[in-house]
Amino acid sequence: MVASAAVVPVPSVAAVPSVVDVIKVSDVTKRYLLGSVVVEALRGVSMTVAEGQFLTITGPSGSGKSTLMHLLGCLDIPTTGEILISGERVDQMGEIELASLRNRRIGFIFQQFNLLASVDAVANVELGLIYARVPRAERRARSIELLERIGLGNHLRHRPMELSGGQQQRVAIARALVGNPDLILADEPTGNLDSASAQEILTIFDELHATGRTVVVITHDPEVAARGSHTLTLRDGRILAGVA
Amino acid sequence: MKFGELLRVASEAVQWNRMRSLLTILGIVIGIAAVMVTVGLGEGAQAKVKGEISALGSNLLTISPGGSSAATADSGESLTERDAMALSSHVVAPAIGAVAPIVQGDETVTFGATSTSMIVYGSTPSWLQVRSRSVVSGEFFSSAQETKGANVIVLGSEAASELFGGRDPVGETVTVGSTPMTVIGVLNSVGSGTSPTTNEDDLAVVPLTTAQNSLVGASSNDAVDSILIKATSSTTLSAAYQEADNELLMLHNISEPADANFTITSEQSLVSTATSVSSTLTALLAGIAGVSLLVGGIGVMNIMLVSVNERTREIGLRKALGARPRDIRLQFLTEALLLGILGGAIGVGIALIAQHVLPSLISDPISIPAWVTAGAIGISMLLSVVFGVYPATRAAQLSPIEALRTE
Ligand SMILES: Nc1ncnc2c1ncn2[C@@H]1O[C@H](COP(=O)(O)OP(=O)(O)OP(=O)(O)O)[C@@H](O)[C@H]1O
Ligand SMILES: [Mg+2]
Repeated sequence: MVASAAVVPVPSVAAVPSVVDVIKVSDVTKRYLLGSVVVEALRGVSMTVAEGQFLTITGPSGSGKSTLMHLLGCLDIPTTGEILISGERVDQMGEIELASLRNRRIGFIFQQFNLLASVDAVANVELGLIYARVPRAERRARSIELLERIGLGNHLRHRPMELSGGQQQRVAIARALVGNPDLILADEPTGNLDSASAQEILTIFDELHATGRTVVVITHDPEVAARGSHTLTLRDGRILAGVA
Repeated sequence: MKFGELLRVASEAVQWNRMRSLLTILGIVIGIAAVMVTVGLGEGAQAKVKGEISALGSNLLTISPGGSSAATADSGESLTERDAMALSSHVVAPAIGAVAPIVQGDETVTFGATSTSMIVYGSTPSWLQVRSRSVVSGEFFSSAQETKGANVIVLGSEAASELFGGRDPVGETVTVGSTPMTVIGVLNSVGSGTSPTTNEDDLAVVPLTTAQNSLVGASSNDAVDSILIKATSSTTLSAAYQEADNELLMLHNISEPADANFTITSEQSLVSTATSVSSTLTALLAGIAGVSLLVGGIGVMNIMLVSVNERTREIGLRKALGARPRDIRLQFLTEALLLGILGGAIGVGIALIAQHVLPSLISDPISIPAWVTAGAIGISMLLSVVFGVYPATRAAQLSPIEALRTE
């Protein structure tokens, strides 16, 4: 009773860091079983992403960039190690908890855009809000507002096939932003774009960073990597260099 | 996800792939239409048989001479007027409401230059009640006319119009065989429901005694061709049967029921024979149609599985955006349900069109009861959901990264 205070140290208010780490990764490994072959995609990765950072992750093909992004995005859980997203332990979560976490905290942008071909831009943007049980009128209002801000106000009713690559990726960015996530994760967002469209998209990322968003972009384009406030390089499943 | 949301997503998917959606439901469409038309044919046939039989008069038993065993089969003159009289006693046979002894012959009936052949029945005034008929013009003969063998005749409506055209035949004289008879009445028309073999409107009725005296083939003694009895109600039909059977065995001095020299048949037994024949056929055809429905269900499953495969990326994306496995499962189940409703509705539509178009081509009536229509939609929904469970579960179990990695 007397000793309890000493055994469980209560952190003082001043000891709590003022900048919360959006992501904290400690000694994470990821192994895949390909038939009988074990593929070690990540071999012990530790890193943090602070709020408001624009982190770029580079590295050669097969170095584990996408694997790391899947873990950061709670699409998968690590084989060993700890991952905290906004202070929540996610490395042992079940499928349903992970789904809810992705829905609330993470916005994804993919190389292939991954838009639904059958519905228009607004319906694509509001998709995540459906699973967050946001009422339809509010969903549509928020989606339209974002599309207008991102310069697609005249293309609300267009289906993906009726949009250019750059426009499609902008719809995807709006979709990633619409739920107000803590973290925006992009895997090769400019990989399928011509250089003009790629520049437009990168400008949007700069703006997101400027407005205080936390952004992680995976790329093997050194020019893209250079736009980040911080950069990490992966090789053979380990962090090779960089500050994070 | 709310059901309205699910329905919207499902209808978008169904519309997006119209051709495939159509192919998916084709099996169900054909199955439902086939089941409904088959059941409709069966129901139509039953309704037709019931209509024909009810035109004969309800709660009716027919006693005909000759037993069912070989020894008694040919005792042609075993029924008499005395039998009929005994059966009309309310003491002996309380369940029997009315009795009509019948003598019948195929006769040529002539009026002026017009002559036509018809069945002429000789009976008593209770014939009207037994056969549930009425007189629309003139009157039926009385007991007195029956007893003294008056030469009067009552015509069926078709017989009357064949001989007299539109004129009122009451009071005119026709010749039956070689005997002149006065027309005293015209029977009501029983109209449709009559089969070509027993036209209940193309006949004539004369007093029994008159028939025994003048009809060709009718013997002059008191033998009759058959006795019709009407039970007091449909619930006393079997009691009436028992009473008639016992009384006749006694009158004929027969101790073994198996040696009976008469046969009692009920119209009900005709109904049940006819309906059991057609319901066996209906069951067989419905079975075949049911199998085709099952194949339709498997078709839904097959194409849904292809669809899940093709939409792996969509499933991965939805999961990345926060869809739980049950959201995905419900999405695909709703899609299956919608396809089922669509397939059912189109199938029902085709069946209802067939109900109007087919009878004129195959000369069989089709009558599809409302419960069959409701059941058909229900079955197609059930079928599609049952066969949608497996593909939907497959979709729900896809891991989001696997789903996103597929090109
Ligand atoms: N689901 C999986 N099953 C088996 N092996 C996998 C799986 N996902 C990734 N790998 C393997 O893990 C290693 C890292 O893959 P990853 O996709 O993370 O590389 P990457 O850095 O994104 O490459 P790229 O630049 O080509 O996209 C590779 O050897 C890959 O084959
Ligand atoms: Mg990759």
